[in-house]
Amino acid sequence: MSTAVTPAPVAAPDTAFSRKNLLATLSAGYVPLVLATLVVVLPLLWMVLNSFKQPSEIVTTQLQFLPQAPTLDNYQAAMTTVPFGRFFANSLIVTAVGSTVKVVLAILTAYALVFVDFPFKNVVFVLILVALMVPAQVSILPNYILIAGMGGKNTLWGIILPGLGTAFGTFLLRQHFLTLPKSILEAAELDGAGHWRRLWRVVAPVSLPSIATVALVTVVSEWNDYIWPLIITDKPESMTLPVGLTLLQNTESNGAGWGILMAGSVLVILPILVVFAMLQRYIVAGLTQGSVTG
Amino acid sequence: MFVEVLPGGGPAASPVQAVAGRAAAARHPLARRLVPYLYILPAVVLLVLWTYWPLLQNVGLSFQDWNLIPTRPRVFVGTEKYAKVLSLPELRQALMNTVVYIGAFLLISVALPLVFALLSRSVQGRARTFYQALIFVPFLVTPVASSAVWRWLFAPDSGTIPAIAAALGHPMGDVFRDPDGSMTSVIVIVGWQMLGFGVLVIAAGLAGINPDYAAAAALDGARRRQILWRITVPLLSPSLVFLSLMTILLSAQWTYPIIDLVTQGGPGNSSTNIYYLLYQFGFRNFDAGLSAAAGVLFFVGFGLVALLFVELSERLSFHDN
Repeated sequence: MSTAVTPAPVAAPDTAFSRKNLLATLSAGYVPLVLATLVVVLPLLWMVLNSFKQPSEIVTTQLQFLPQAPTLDNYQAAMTTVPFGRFFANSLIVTAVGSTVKVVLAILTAYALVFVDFPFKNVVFVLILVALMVPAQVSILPNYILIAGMGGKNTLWGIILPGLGTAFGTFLLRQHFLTLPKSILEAAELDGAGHWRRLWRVVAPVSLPSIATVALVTVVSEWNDYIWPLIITDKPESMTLPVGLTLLQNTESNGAGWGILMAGSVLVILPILVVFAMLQRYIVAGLTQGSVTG
Repeated sequence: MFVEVLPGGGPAASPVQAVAGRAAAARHPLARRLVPYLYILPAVVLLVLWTYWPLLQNVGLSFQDWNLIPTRPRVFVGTEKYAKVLSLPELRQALMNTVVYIGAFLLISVALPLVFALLSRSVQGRARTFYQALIFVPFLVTPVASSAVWRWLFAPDSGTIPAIAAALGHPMGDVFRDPDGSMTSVIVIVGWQMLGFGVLVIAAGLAGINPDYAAAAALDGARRRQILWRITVPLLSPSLVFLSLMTILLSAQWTYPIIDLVTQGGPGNSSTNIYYLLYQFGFRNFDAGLSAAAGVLFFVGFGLVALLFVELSERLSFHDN
């Protein structure tokens, strides 16, 4: 900043605040980053802006960036043409129950795999690794037959249950736990702390960034899951938000339909953005901590 | 963050309980030996029930002819369904498409994020966090919503991209109905979503690298390029291997909701992939045997690829301890 006023000394062109260095930082760092961010964010911005536009503004030959007469009509239409409140409640229950179970089990399993010695550990790890390679799509048909046979069609437990057999979080946390120095547990071990305390007092706090990442990925995939809820529900009362949103798509052919669809999409995305904003603090705290202390 | 948690957490724990637990464990060595199994048991039971059991069921179904209606009989047909799957021209197309998709996503969700993360190292502090968070946002968007916004952006009559293309003198039709454009459109949409995930994983990996190594190397007179290729990238290899493995294993799964929502695999199977094919066999054609046979084949194929990759990664990964 001060270098803009005082020209960089010619003798030392490579010092931190020299004009050359600043320019290099700007061109190599900021410019690609800002450009990439714009390209990535623009479609979402477009979605939000158009959810506030009137039909006549949406279907127009000239591009109008900002809504001329912002309106909430699209939101009202999205929430009244389909039972949005019900979808929301269903999604909330499915996500809360499913993610909590998945994340807690992932932490426990990954801890045991890395820090506890027990026979057949490799067998368990291979079981988890192979499960990672069993695509959900391959089990969808047998799961459908099983859940439908148990009377789980159009129920929330029918949506939640099959998703619980996942190995993704366990695998990710194991990879992270492996990078922790074993020495952090030695002190706790000398103190006589059992596994339960070692996990929650030493390993988990140190791994907060990774756990927050796994939690985020789990919550996001649970909230956004589309194919399985689509298959297992056909009544609006038991649909989750993504499946319910497809009911709005049938009206898209005119301008009003697009606006309503954009409004509905914004409503589906918003809660997950709030969760992200909340968890992001932990992720950021962990990242900066990591970069300062190593 | 955890600097606060650690000292705060100590006194909050109940020492009485811990001592009691230790005494109990000492008195019952069997209990002590069982503890690790309690940690992994629930997860393993759920895995067996909802991943391995269906896999076995799938193998059984693949030898049967059945249209998914519970009252209809299941007829044993031997390997007929496997022969049928392997002879379908759709299968070859779907396999080729899947390979192209994987290649495209290795580029978009591994290579590109690496470049981003390395570039944004020179951008410090809050600004970097801000941009990385923004790039991550599309990953949070449900496929139904992302397909909605992109279908509209590409809509031939009122969409923004065709309007801009026309203004630039390159009028374009409906990409989702164009055999040459449908796959690209799916790659654009899914790539747009996955980019941020890669950036996050690599940024986390970079943050975990002890800067002392680079500092020591710099003191020894190493150049920036040398530090990058000899220190940073090798230390980053666990993150890169993890991300590549995820991409190879999961890109077919990331792709198929979008395929269902924007192109339905068309036109003429030009944008389909193996999982979408499987889904169509089962839930569109109601041919349980055909879908199951395809599922078994894909699982075995992917399993071999993944095992190869894991074996390779154990050799390539460089752990910092």
